[in-house]
Amino acid sequence: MANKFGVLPFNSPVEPTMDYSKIAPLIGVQSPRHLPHDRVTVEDVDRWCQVMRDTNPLYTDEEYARQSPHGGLLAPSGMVHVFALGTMKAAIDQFVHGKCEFPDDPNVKLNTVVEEEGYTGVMATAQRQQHFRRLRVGDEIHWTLGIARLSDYDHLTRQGVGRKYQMLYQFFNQNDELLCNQTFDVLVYRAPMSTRRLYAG
Amino acid sequence: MALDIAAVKALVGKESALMAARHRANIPDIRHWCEVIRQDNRSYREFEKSTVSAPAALLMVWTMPPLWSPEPKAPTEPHERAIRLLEEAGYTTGLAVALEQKFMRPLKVGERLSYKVKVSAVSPGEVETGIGRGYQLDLHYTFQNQDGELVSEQVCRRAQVTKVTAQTKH
Repeated sequence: MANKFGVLPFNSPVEPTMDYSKIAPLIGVQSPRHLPHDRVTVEDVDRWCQVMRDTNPLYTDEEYARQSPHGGLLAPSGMVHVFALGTMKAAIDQFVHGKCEFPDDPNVKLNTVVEEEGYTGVMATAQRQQHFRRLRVGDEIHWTLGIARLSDYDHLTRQGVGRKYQMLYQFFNQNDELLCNQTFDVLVYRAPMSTRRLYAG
Repeated sequence: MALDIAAVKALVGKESALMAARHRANIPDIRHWCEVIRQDNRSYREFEKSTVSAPAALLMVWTMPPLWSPEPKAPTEPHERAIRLLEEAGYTTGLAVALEQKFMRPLKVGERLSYKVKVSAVSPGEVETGIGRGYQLDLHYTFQNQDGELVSEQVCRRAQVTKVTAQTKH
C-alpha cells in the first residue's frame, strides 16, 4: 500500500507485473502454414539484382545457371521473405481497419495480450536468417511463424520500460524442404508520457 | 556549355531503333499492380488461371530501362541525345508534364513488347514554367508486340528546366 504521499514501500513492484499465464501457451508454437501470393520468378529476381547491383549470373543468366552445379536459375537467399509477404490489402485491413488476416496466429494473440498489458510501443530490433537450401526460380514458398521466446522481466530501455520477444519464421519450398529459419526480435514497450505526446502531435 | 538549339532541332522527326522490353508481359507484375492499385488479394494461382490480357497502364512498366546495369548505356538514340544536349547546357531537371495514351489492342500475357521513340517537337525557345526556365520536348512512343502489331501510341511532353525553384507555402 502506498503511504499518504503516494510512495510505495521499497519492496513493492513499481509496475504491476505481467500475467505470464496468458503468454505461456503461445510460446514455442508455430502457426499453420501460410501460402504465398507469388511464385519465385525471374522478373522479381531481376529487379532485386538491379537494385542491389548484384551481377551474379546464377540469378539472371539462364544458360550459365543451367550448366552450373545448381542446374537452373537461383534466387538470392535474402529474398526469401520477399515471397512470403502479406498483400497490401491485408496490411490495410490490419493496420487501418483492425481486421487481421490470421487472427489465430500466436504472434497476433501475443500482440493482443501485450497491448492489453500496456506495452503499446512496438519496435523491430534485429533479424537473423539461417539458410539451409538455395531458393530456386519457380519455387513456391510457404511459411509458418511463431514466438520463440518472450523476456519474463521488464527491460529498462531508452524507449521506455519494455519486453523483448523473438519471432521465428520458417520458410519451406513446395517439397516441404526447410529453406530458412529467420528470427525477428521485437521490443514492445510502455512509451513514457513525453514520447506519447510527441506521437500524438 | 551553351545550348546548341540547332543540334536539338536537327533531332526533331528522328526516330530511335526498336528497343525490346526486358521481360514479357507476365503474371507476377500484373499481380503486383493489381495488389497495389486495386487492393486485389488473390494469389498467383488465381491469376495464372484467369488472366489473359495485361492492364493497359503496365505497358510503360515493361519498357522501362533497368534501374541499374553494370555497363551504363551511352545516349545514342535521338531522344536520349536531345535530352543529353539540354542537360549539358544546364537544363538538368527532367519532368514529364503530360502524357497522352492511345491503346489499339489489349496486350496479352506472354507477349514481348518493343518500342521506339521519335522526337516530335521541341519548343521554339525557352519557356517559363512554375519551377524554372527550360525547353519542352514532345516524345512520341510507339509500342508493338513481337509480331510487329501496333499496341499503343503515346505522346509524352517533357520539360527540361534549369533548376527546380519550388515555392514554399510558409
